[in-house]
Parts: sequence; C-alpha cells; structure tokens
Amino acid sequence: MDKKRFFNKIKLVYLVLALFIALPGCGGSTYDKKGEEAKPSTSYEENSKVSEKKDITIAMVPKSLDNPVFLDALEQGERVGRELGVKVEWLGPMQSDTNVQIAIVESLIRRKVDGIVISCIDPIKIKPVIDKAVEAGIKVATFDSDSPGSNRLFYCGTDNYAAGVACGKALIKEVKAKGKDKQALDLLIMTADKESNNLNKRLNGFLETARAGGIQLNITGTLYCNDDVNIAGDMLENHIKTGDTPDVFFSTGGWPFVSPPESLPGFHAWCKDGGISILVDTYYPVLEAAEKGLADSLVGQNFNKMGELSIKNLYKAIKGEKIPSSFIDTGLELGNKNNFAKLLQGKQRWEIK
Amino acid sequence: MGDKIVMKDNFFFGLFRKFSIYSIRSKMTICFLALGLIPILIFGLISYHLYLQNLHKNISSYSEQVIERVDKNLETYISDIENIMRLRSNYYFQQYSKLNEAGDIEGNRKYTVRIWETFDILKQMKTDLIDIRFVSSSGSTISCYGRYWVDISKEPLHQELINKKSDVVAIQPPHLNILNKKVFSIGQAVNRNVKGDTGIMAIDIDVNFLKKICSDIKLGETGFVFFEKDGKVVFTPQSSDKNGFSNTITQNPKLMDSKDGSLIDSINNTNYIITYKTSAITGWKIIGVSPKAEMTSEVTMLRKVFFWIITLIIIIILLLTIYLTSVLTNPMRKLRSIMKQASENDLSIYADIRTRDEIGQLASSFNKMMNQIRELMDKIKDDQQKIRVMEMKAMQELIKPHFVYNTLDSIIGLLEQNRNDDAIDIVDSLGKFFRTSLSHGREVVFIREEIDHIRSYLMIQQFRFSYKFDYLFEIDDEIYNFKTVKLILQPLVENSIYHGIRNLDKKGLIVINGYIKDDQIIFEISDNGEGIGEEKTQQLNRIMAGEEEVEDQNMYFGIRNVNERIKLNFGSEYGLKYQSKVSVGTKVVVNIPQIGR
Repeated sequence: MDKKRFFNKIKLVYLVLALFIALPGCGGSTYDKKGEEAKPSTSYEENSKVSEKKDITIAMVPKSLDNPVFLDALEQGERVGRELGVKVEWLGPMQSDTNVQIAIVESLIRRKVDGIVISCIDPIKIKPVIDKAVEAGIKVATFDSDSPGSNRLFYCGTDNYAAGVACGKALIKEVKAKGKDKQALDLLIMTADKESNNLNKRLNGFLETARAGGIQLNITGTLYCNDDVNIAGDMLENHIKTGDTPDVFFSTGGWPFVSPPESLPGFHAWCKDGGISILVDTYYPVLEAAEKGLADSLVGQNFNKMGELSIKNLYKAIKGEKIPSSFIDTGLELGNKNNFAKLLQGKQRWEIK
Repeated sequence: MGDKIVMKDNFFFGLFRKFSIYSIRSKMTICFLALGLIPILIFGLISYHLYLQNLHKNISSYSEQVIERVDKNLETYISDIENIMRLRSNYYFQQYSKLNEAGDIEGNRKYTVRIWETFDILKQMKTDLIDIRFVSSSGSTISCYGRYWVDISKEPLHQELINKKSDVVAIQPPHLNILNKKVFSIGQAVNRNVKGDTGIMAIDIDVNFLKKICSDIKLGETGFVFFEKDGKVVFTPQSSDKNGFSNTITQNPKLMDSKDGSLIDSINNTNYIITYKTSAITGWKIIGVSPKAEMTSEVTMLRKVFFWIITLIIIIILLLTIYLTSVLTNPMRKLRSIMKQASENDLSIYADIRTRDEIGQLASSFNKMMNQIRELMDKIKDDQQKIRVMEMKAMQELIKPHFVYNTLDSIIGLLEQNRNDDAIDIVDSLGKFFRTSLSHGREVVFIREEIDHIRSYLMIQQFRFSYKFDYLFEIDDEIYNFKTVKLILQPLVENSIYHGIRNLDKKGLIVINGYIKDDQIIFEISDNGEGIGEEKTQQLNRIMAGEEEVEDQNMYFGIRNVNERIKLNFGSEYGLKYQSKVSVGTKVVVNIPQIGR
C-alpha cells in the first residue's frame, strides 16, 4: 500500500465519522413546542458589569446632584483622586431621595467599587445598605451627613453640633445687640428634612445654646426644602409674605440664598426691619446674599476639605493603612457683617448658570 | 293495505314508505317542513360560511392594524428620543466633553450642572425616560445619576455603533441599567475622532413603556404582543404571556424566514393567530398572538343565534304547517271518515263539505255516488223482491198439480202393470226434478244441475206422452261448470212439448244445445213442432226485448218469467229470442253470461 492510498483511506474514515456526527443535527426544526412551557421568555442582563479592575474606584454619593453645595467636595475629591491615581465617581439622586440613594449604593456594591463616601439623607434607612457594602468588602465612609449606627469607617465633615452651637452664640450676640434679649422671640426654621442627622445636630446645637443663653424662642414654623435650592428661596419668601413674620430666621443650610438676593425682596425688607437671620454655610452665593443684608451671621462648612479628606483617608483604608479617627473634623468658618466681604473675596464665584 | 297510497319511483315516496308515513297530513307536514327548512338551511349555511370567511379576513386585517399601531407608537417614540439625542451637538455638551477630556475640573462645573439640569427637565417631561447617558470614548460617563466610569468597549450600544455612521440609531434590547431597572436603550455615536474612537449618547427607557404600548392594544381576551429579534424574545409582557409561548413562537420557521406576515400555529392543542411585522427603526419583529377561538368568539355567538333562529323558524314552520295541513286535510279527513262510515253500510251518510276545491268536488261526487248507490240498492231490493216473486211463480208454474197428478197416475199405471223398473225410473226422475227445482233455495245453480233438471223433466214427459217425442242434448262439456238462473230451460221445453209437438202426427224431437259463443253461454231449445207464425214470433221477440207490453199478465207467463229473471239477474242484454217457422218448428235461443266458474 503506498502512502497516497493510505491517506485517502484515512480521509474516507474521517468523512464517515463526520457524517455520523453531522447527520443527527440535520433533522430540520423539530423543536418540541410542548416542552417549553412556563419558561421566562426574557432575561435581563446588566449593562456595565465591572470587568477586571485596573484602577481604584471611589464613589462619592451626595444627597442630591442638584445641590451645588456638594460640588466643592466633588471637585476637591477629583483633584485628590487624580493625585492618588484613583478614579473618583459622583453618584446620587437628582433630588434628595433616600430610596434612590440606597439603590445607588446597591449598584455600587454590584459594580464592586473599592470605596464609597456617602452623605446620608436618612441615616437609619441607609444603614443596612452601608453595612451590606462593608460586608461586600467595600470601604465605606460618610461625609457631610453621618450614619452613626452603621459600620462605616469614618465620618468626614463638620462637627454639626458645634456648628449649631456657633449659630446659637451668634444669635445671642445679635439679640443682645438689638436689645431683644428680654423678650420671647418667634423663630422660623428652615431645614432639608426631618431625618438628616447633620441638620438635626445643627438645629439642636443652635436651640440648646440659645436657650442656655437666656433667649426665649417660640418656634412658629419649620420649612422643609428637601435639599432643593430651587424651591428653598421661594418657600422662605412666600412665608414672609403671609405676614406671619418671625423675629429670628435660622436655616441649617444655605439653600435659600442660592437664589439671587433680588428674588427675596420680602425677606430683605424683613431683615431691614430688624429681623435676625442666621444660617449655616458660607459658600459664595450665601456670603454674597449676607453681604447684601440678608444674613446677620453665618457658620460655614468646608466642603473642599470634606472631599479632600474623605478621598485621602478612604484611599488609606483601601490600601490597608490606618485611619486617624472615626471622625475627621473639617472645621468651621464664622462670618458676620464685619467679615462678610473679606470672606467673599476668598471664595470662587459659582458659575453654574 | 287500507288507505295507504302506493307510490313508486320517487325519493320522497320511498322515504314515506320507509317510515310508514301513511297520512297525507304527515306527508304534507314533512313537505312543508322540507320546503321551509331546506332554503333556510342552505341560505344560513352559505351566509355562515361567507361570514366566517369575512371574519377571518377582518381578524387578520385587525391584527395587522394592531401590529401597525404598535409599530407606529414605537417609531414615534423613538423619533422623539432621536430628537432628544440632538443634545449631543448642544454647546454645553460639547464644552463639557472637551473640558472633561482636558481634565479641567473647575471649568467644567457650570456645564456639569447644566447637563444635569437638562437631564432632569427631560426626565420630568418624558416620564418613561429612566436615564440619559453621555459616555466619552474614555468611558467617563455623565448621567442622571451622576458621573462615573465605564468600560465603553463593553457597552453593547458602543459595539453596535462603532462601525456605523454617526447619525444611525442603535437599539439595545431590554436589560438592567446601573440601578438594576429594566430598560431598553437607544443610542447614537458622539464625537467620533480620527482614530475612529467614539463616545455614545444613550437614553434608557423603562420597559414598562413597551408594556404600555403592548397593553394599549387588544387581541382577544388573552392575546398579547411581544418583540423578537434574531430568534430571541426582546420583550414580552409577562402578565400576558403566562405560558411562556413567546419563545416557542419565535422558533416558528415561517416567522423566522419572513419579515412580515401572519400564520396560524398550534401550541398545546390551541390554535393561535400570529401576525408579525418587522419594525424598520428597531429591527425588532412585533408579534401579535391571539387565540383563534377568542378572536372567533363572535362565530360561537353567531352559531348560537343561528341555532335559536333556526329553532324558532322550525317552530313557526311547524305551527304553520300544522295549521295549513289542518286547513287542507280536515275536509279530506272528514270525507275519509264519511267514506269509512259509508263503507260500514251506513248509506244514509252525506258529506257536508262546502269547499270549492278538489275536496269539495270529491265530496259532491261522493254524495252523487251515494245517491246512486242508494238508488241501486233500492233497485236491487226491488229486483230481488221481483225475482223472489217470479221464482215463486215459476215454481208454481213448474209444479202444476195437473203435472204431478198425471205423473203419479203414470207411476200407478206402471206399478199395476208390474213395470216396476220403469216406475222406479220415473219416481227417481220425479224426485230429481223436485230436488233440482228447489235447489236448496238457491237462485243461481250450476248449468249441470239445470241440465239434469231438464233431463228428469223430459224423461217424465216422454213417458207421460208415451214416447211421442225424442229429445237430444248437445251440450258442450265446458259449460257445465258455469252458473245460470235456475228453472230457465224447463218452461221452454214444456212449451216445445205442449205447443209444438203434442198435436203432431209424427214423432217429435226436442234438441237442447248448449255452447259458448262470443263469451256468452248460449242455450238453444229446438223442436220440430207446428211452429209459430212470423208475426207472432216477432211479437214474442218484442215482448222479450221489452219493446212491447202484454195486455194480459197471464199471457206468455212462463217465457216472460224466464226472460225477466234472466234480465234481472244478468242484465237487459241477456234473455230469450225466438225463431220459428210454421210446420217446421221453433227454436228459442237463451243467452246468459259466463259466470260462476
């Protein structure tokens, strides 16, 4: 048998084998219709499954995207992240919404990010998902608004009670200066919601300090702006226009002054008439409004530091390094009519419109 | 067989025979029902068939319209989304994109906020929008949920758009978005660079939008619409597709091979009408599934209505038939009842039917017939009475005391002469003569008996007249067993003896012939006696023919009696006829019908 004939025979054997394998598959479309009952017709796949990771990713979760207050923290966080070689993400509900915030954290768990820094809208509701993330091996910290009962690594932000105390002291000073310290004063409060831990601490600090200082405060109303800078100014202006004018206005945040000062003529007139206005936050629009006479005292937070220290310390934690403390204080900035202009000079104008 | 009408060579008649439908009423009922129902049934079935054809056409057309509507809704919505995606050319987006790629954090704040505001406004305007994403070629993403990083090369939309023109829209079938919401996405390429790298703008739409456009349509009670692409189910409303048929349907070879069309598929022994169309904008097949039975439920309804209408028509026709047949057959039944009564010998009956139709005419004829029957019966009674009387007279004429005394004297003479044998013969003949005369009271006897009777009589008379004459019988054997009125020959023979031969100087001869001629039995009694004059012969024949009355009832009594009895019993065409010549003899011819054999 020569070599060529041998190979021909081998080819023939392969051909027969190939036919045996292929033929059973040539039976046309004989699908069994009855065998496919009650099987889900569609299954959904997630779009962006996190693939092999190259960079460290830390997601910052603000209370809402539409509150420019947090932009300082975002930008500083991004700067620090760039220095550290960390990808910084910024994910949050468009408007303050705990359920969306929870869903976002869930998505971050699914995407297996390395770290999460979150400003908690509702510290109680957010706690389980923070703990879930921690259990999933994600380093979690809070900024601006804490969830103290959770397993987060640290809280980076203002000492909110101290901020409230500072506001209370400023009130005492203003009241005494205006000779109203002997009379009971009607107080109008503005805050984002009932749940925010940071805001409640500020409020408590304010009320306790003022009362301890001998100021009698009757809370005549509380305005909840839901962290929405677009509605806060209108809420305040409308309330003042009702005629139910307070003696003191205290806001746990700077929301109402993000609107142009000209949009608050009623409130401006109330201030001129001797109304005492004290707010937390010293960012540019708030200082600008204060300088135009809409506030007597301001107690500011440092969002830049919040962004910076949150990312730096979380990076440390991701790298396995020790965190200095479970509370990282970003300090306070005190403002009054004497230094509003000076403080304003040190701030960058918000160019968001 | 009663009044059963024998009918043949006809289907209906055969049917009637088969089911033993005897009465005209039943036949008329069946005929009316058949005449009423057959056109209705034929009309109904043709209408039903045409309606069914039309319905199937309409269902098919309706399903196509439904699918078309879904396609239009989808197309309109996607066109809107395409308009929204023009944002990618917007100044703010372009600035954001450039600054983001440049890494200008501070400078991009304004554009970031503006983009989020724009996204928010769009979401509020279009509530089905879940997310709007702007993904740069590096994977930096800004969306309604913030800014994050993705591996763009693994984005399905990017994979589809990378090799397409910039203005082409790509559709990603339903999937889970970043927040695990079920969405389908529409995307377009953004900022393609010289290397061919491209970012994408994607809009995630809630799958409930598909559910909404699917649930806006109605395909029967449980019919539904779903979407398919490349043999896979893109979206199916789970609440409608409880049995998970969508997967099965997508494997149908006809559906796989064509873009548009409709077919009927049987799944789990249920027929489904499947109509499909390929959407030009999405490339998805929009498939409408509706159980055939549901779509044709109108037919079931129609069938019920048809059934009840037919039932109603049958009842109406039945009632009308009963009424009409009653109207038509009542006179007949009444006539039948009258006829039955008449058949039971009630000849006094009268059919009181005053219609002008055939039944009325029949009743009138019946009444006439009954009158005739009554008249005939009366006549028969009269004739019978006459016959009885004439018979009695014939008997009296026959058994004349003179004849009896003379015969008895002759017997005594013979006995005195010790001619016992002769005496015995005469006694025997006399006995036979009387016996056959009586004939047990019968009016009609066999010809044999009549001949025997004559034979006895002639024997007695031959002896009494001392053999002055001879007699001869020439009777055909074939006539013996026919019947005749009794005692018709004896008076004729007696006349031959007494008026023809008695006074002859020579020996007389009486010849009795009997034969059949022209279906009649003919008897001829001939003698060679004195004969009768011609005038008298003619007179006799006129009297026999009933053309002349006799002045005296005793005149020719014997032959008149015979003649009348024959006519009464057999008809006027029968009777006697004389032929005679003086000094030659006389022949009397008797004709009677052939009866009784």
